Amino acid sequence: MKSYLLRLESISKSFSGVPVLEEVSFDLYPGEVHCVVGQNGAGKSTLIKILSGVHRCDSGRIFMRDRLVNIRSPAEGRKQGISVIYQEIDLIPDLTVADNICLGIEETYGRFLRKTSRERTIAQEMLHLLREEIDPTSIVKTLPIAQQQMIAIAKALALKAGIIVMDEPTSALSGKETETLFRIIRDLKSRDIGIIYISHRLSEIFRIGDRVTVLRDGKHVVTSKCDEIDTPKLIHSMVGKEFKRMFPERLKQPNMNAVLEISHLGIPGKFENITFELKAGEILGIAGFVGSGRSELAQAIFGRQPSIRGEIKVNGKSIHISRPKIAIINRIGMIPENRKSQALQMQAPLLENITFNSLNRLKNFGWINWRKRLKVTQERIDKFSIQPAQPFKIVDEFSGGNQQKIVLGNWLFEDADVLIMDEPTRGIDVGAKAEIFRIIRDWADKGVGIILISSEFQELAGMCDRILLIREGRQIGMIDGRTATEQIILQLILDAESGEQIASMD
Amino acid sequence: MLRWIKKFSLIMTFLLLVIICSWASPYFLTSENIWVLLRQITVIGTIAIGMTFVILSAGIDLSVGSVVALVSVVSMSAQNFGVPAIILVGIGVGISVGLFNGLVITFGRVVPFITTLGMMTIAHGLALWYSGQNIIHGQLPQFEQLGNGWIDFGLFKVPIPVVIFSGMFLIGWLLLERTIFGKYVKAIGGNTEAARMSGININFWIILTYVYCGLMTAVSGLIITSRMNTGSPMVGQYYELDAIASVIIGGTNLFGGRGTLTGTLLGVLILGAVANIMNLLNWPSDVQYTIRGVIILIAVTMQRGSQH
Repeated sequence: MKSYLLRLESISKSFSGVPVLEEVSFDLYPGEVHCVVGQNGAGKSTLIKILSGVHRCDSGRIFMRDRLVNIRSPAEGRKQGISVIYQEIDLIPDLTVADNICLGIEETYGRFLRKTSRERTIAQEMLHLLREEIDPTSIVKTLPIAQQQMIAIAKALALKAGIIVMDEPTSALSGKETETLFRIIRDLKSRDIGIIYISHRLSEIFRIGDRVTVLRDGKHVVTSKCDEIDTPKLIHSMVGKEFKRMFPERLKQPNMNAVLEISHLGIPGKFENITFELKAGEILGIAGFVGSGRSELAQAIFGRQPSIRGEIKVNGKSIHISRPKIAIINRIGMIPENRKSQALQMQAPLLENITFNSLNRLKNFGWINWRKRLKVTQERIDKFSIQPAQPFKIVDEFSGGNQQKIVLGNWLFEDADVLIMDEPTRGIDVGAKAEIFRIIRDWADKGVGIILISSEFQELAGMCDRILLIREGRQIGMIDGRTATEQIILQLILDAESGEQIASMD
Repeated sequence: MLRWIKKFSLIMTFLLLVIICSWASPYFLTSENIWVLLRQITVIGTIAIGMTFVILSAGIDLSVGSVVALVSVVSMSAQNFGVPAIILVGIGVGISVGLFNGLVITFGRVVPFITTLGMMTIAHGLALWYSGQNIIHGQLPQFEQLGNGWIDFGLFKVPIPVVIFSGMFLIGWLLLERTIFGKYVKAIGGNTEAARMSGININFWIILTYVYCGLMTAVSGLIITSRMNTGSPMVGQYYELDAIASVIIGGTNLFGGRGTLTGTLLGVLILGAVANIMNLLNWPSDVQYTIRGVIILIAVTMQRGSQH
């Protein structure tokens, strides 16, 4: 057995008296991919932040090789050779690609004067390694999210670290880019670099991981070799109880009335000629890669995109949806892709967020009825089992899964006929995902037509009645969700490269 | 591409302004007036260099106007020890105030707006107290030369303040575009957390930013003091507004992360030309203030428009 690269010994950390990590131990060998899984709030991010120097542990010791180290700041963490790819992309939007890749590791004449051409060369090398064709002098914010994620990875590589921590690195990547990332990881392994890999996508862990460690409620549950454990066991140790099923059963048949009819919808340069209808009580999935136009399509139906062509009919009536307000008046709701920037008032309490859409019904003569508002809030907290159940806690302090439940709760009692959900489960742990799927299914069973967008095709296959496939802005087919699997969807989308249409199955 | 259009639009605005001004007053484009104009802008211009860095770091420095007054009276009180003493004391005052601002903002965790708002009043009070509310007349002709003299470059003579300002601008440009100081200031202003995660010592660079702004303010204070040959506790009023306005007109994002010093220079020139032409036309000061305000609002509106 090789000697370890990194060893954490009984790390504990609490925030204002609440323990977040308790006596967690962890080790990493050179050339190993050690995955860390656990639900949100299990302590994964805290563990990373202690490693990278953002937080300091209350007790416990960190060894690198055989040396006891004390990581007091991100600068020291980087000096120790620990590089982190954060889940929220940590790039400076107005700087160039090269500026970002070399941020903090600039080579200088003297102490201050930058060698800018050297920075460009390093950036070029790192991007070349990732097989990305990005101009190092372009401004980061002008690039698509997937490319930004690759730049963040290039930035981590540029540090030439011995340990690379990847926190949900694939959440913004398409299938092809994920493959490239996996190739890079294998390459890093062969160079004896240790990788700590965090992901909610369990399939990735079995593909790329050597060992996996499960955390639950801040405690270490198990560390196992990846080929000695399977998905049910993994999920079992994550949630701590037998996990029956991820997706609720489809009990009801969708109604035959179309609540939404889309014909020949298009936005120049984004997508074209999209035609489908959504029935009451139906969950319609939209499958496509990042950048396929699926989010723009959803936004167009909600009036967020100008200059649309084609026709949208709601309940049989043709409507020109030029603004979100018109969509709302016509009983179309939207759960946007980014809950932090598009759906929530992050600094406002749970109560205000979860009742925001219902204010009209909580008013008496124009005054907000606070007693009623609190009562409604309590009901929704119970219904969605939002944790912690504190109506006056600031939304920013909730975990991602609970934040998403708050977003859903805000729409729940509204009379929507159509609900569009763009990535409702992004960055959410398994337990919360299952709860959210149950909520979505309940909604559909009440007769709401739901459009569901997800990067995880497995979710679409599990949830949807029908799935619309799009690729590069073109509609390439519609398949039955009951018989679909992740593999079928992926295969169909990839096969469409030749440009031929898939026979519609519905 | 878009950046070029934006850069050009500012130059076009300035050229258009020059055309309008020269049409409004035949005196505007005379070499005499051009030197007057350039010398006028050096005071605000020098502060605006430091202010560009502060605003790029997502901060603001409201204290610069009062600091000019404090630099003015304290430095002039050192005139018995010679010109170098005046300059050293003035720079010392500016750097100290900048250091204080930086320390309160970083380690005291007070937002820049409040910190420098407090410092604005403190420096004003100190200047009044130190001078006993009196002005100090300059006794040294050499010091007076600093603001009023000319340097003969053979082909033409250039006012000394313009030479100083040009030097400061060049150094500032190098700092911003070619050193890690400039890069880190933009990084911190663009995304503080990401900069911290990249191992950048945020506090150090923020403090340096305010020290640099204090230094530029001191240079500006010395220029105006020498120009009037008087240490006055009342000088510098509203300089912070003119400096901030120049930076914003120059296209620097008020919330940090994006901006250039060439933009700031054009902003200074635009505001300077407008002030100059209104003086030439003898417009009353109430009209002048109103028009300058309107120009600032238009500039900010245009900046917001170009972000979408």
